Amino acid sequence: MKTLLKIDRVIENIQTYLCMALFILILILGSVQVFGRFIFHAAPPWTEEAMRFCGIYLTFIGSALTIRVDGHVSVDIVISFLKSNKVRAALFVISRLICVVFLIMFFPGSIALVQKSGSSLGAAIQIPYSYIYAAVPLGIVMMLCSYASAIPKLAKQYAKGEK
Amino acid sequence: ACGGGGGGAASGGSSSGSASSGSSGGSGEPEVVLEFGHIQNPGHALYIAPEELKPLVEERSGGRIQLNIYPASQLGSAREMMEQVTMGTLDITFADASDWASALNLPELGVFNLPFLNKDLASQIKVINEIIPEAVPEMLEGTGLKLLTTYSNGIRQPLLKNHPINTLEDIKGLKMRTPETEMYVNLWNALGASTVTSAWSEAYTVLQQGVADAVEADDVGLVSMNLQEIGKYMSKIGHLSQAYIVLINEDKWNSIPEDLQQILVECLAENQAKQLADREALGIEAEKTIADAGVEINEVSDAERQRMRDACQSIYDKYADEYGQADLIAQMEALNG
Amino acid sequence: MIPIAVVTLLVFLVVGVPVSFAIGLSGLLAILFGSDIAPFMAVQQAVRGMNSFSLMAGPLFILAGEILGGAKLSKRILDFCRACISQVRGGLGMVSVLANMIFAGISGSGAATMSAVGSLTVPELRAAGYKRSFIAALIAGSGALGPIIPPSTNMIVFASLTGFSIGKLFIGGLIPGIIIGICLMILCRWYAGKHNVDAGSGAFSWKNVWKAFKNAFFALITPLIIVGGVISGVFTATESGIVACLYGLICGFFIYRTLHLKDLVNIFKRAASSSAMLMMIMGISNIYSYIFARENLATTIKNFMLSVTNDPTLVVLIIIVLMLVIGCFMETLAATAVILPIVYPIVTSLGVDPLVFGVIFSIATVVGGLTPPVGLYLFLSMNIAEAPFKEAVKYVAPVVLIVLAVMILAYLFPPIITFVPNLLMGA
Ligand code: NA
Ligand code: NA
Repeated sequence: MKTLLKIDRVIENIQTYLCMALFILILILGSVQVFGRFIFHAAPPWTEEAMRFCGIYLTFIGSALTIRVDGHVSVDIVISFLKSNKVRAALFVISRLICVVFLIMFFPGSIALVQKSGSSLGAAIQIPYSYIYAAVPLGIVMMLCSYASAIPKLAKQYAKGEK
Repeated sequence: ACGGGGGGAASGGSSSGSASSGSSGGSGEPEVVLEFGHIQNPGHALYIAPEELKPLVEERSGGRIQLNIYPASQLGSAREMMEQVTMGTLDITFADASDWASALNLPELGVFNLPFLNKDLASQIKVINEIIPEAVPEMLEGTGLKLLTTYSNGIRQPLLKNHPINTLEDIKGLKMRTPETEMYVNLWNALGASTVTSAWSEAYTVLQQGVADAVEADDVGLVSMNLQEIGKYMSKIGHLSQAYIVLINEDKWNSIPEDLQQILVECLAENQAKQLADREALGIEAEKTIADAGVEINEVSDAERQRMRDACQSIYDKYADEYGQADLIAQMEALNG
Repeated sequence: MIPIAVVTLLVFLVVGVPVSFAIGLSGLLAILFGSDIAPFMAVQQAVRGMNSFSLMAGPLFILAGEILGGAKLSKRILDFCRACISQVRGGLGMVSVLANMIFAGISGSGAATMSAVGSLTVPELRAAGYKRSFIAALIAGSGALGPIIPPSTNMIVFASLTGFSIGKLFIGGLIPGIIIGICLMILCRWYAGKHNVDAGSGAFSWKNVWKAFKNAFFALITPLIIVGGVISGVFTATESGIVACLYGLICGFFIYRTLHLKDLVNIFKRAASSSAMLMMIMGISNIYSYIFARENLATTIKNFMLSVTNDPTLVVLIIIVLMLVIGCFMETLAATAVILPIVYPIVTSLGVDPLVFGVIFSIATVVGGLTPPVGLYLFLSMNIAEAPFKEAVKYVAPVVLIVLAVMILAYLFPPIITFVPNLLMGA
């Protein structure tokens, strides 16, 4: 149990620092674009594309952080009207397991897309699009790790009536 | 090209997906269903041609072919649709030659977008009719794609606020708004201008507020954004020719019975001829709108245009040496007469 | 495909599956069992929905809000507002509204605005005698100003889906936002008079205002940098997001020295988490847009709508009411991503000014956050004000009415929206 918690902590840190790095990279690229235009009267044409690609990675990895705080918006009318904590906990687990099912079903498609898009290049940055699509399977793995940690933790809170 | 000739940057919306099943005259189910996706919105010069192709093909084939058209980026941006056609989840799409070049990792396709290659629409049409049908199928070998036809999206021209361009020196120090495409940026930098890249939807603001003092697009595209309201000069240097290449997934093409392939080829020839003629008419109309708005339109001398082209020699060298396109470039330049 | 997609989506939503994943799974099931489309197309479409430069402005303004909140700029803004208007009856309520309006000029999302300013004002408002229920409604209302006063994530979403100019939309929201803010202040005055609380304290002095202004100067000019940059065309919205973040970091680390390196981890973590939520919805709902396009739903809906009426006002009304109803039950961004690409071409083909429609539509999506039973701003404000749901709802009603009234007014008198952008950025 202790080692599992430790592993979870490490994974969370990886997710956090990756997101931070991506955000900082976006800020740097954006600054190059803005200041390049003001100071050198020419911004490189690839900053915009690079920022979009970082944004895609940020979305998929950041989504794993969102899962940890259960921050993906949901319609929680039913759960808010239920009285029994046990039933609420059960509904929570079921709904989040449906997310897990989605992620697992989404995975093969993401791998197929990565394999198929190797010869397609970005318009400004000439890198294969498979590197961009690789954000999806990576993000799915990250999100599944987050769910493995978040579902038991939050279900307990629901069962105890803390949520 | 993103943000090129009007509405290219708009994603999402569309009004008339004409993907109805209404095929005429045939008995029952069509034998071949073709899905044709593209990025242009209603009102754009390139939106019309596929709309006209549909009834033509469906009638001529007696309903044996059904052509479904998905305009206005409904199925994805140009990039995603090019991927889809390669992967076989969409049958047909069109894009600028240089867009195909990066999407297919075939840099030699970009040769049709070389700066100052076609001086006017007439020479562009010669390239479309005489060069592309020979050269492109060869380039496409092994990609799983087949050339269906080529449309024209006109010739790009700069529209300026402060002074016209008569000589190469007039370009020095200009701040030119371009799309975020490498070729455009490199071309203007080679000519001595600095560039401001922006989404096409922001072009009006960028020019009006003086962030850029010139924009460049084809005549129809300029009018579609009302840019003639702010620009004072249009100098017809013809720096970039936009041939829109229409490709079909090769497996899909091979699955079409031969007699239907023949009908398609005939319809496409007719459709293309009409598109090229219409584009010319639209261009004349757009230029009139620009002139009526008080914009001063000027031509540049052949000698001066040659100087501008020579300023971009490094770009030509790359295509001649690295991608082995020297012969093709010579052939195309000869067409300028 | 569409029946499978819609039925499974409803089931997943009712069970409480997070919206983005519910859309993803129902879309995937529709593709797998209702078509012969390869499932990797769903992945391509999801990524396509995120692969937009204008949409990148969303995460950047979320980050800017977090940085400026973390640098405690909200407190300085609040002090300045206090010096300006706390002297009149209802003044403390007005201070909270005004501070929210200024912070809304920095942050793109309502939630960031509310947590930055709202939490600071509650104790004071309580001490002055305001009921928790009113405080909650007030915070919810001024939080809703976040995405109406530029910058605005809702408008970023609108622009990225339609290709319309973000800059113009931003500036179009300015006057409606200010009118709503003023109405909320009048509401405070009315409440304080009716319940005889917060008679106002201290005397107004220009000296105090000047002192507070100097103290808050760098915070107060942030909205001017952002709005000014967008109006002048010097930056795009996305770039002004970059500038706002850099400016916030400079303020926090060098000018006010209120930020510390260790704060950054949490700031980035929170911003990444909210950004991913937004971008995930935008991405995954694109699977639906793809399915709808393949099934040619746009034409069906267009024909249906035009068979009912081709009066532009009525069509806009139907769309807005639809968004308001959906907004009662769920976060509206997902609905926007699915519905807007279908209805936008219909609306523009009827000759409605896309700028007016864009601002009205964005306000409608904001109202969804206020209306019970499910409303993001409502929940958050109940949390901040520690007010129970039943009571908070009572005072939210007038707030919702104010926002709706301003929305209708702006539609009837479009210059409210179009005057400033057309003046500064051209028609
Ligand atoms: Na805002
Ligand atoms: Na609601």
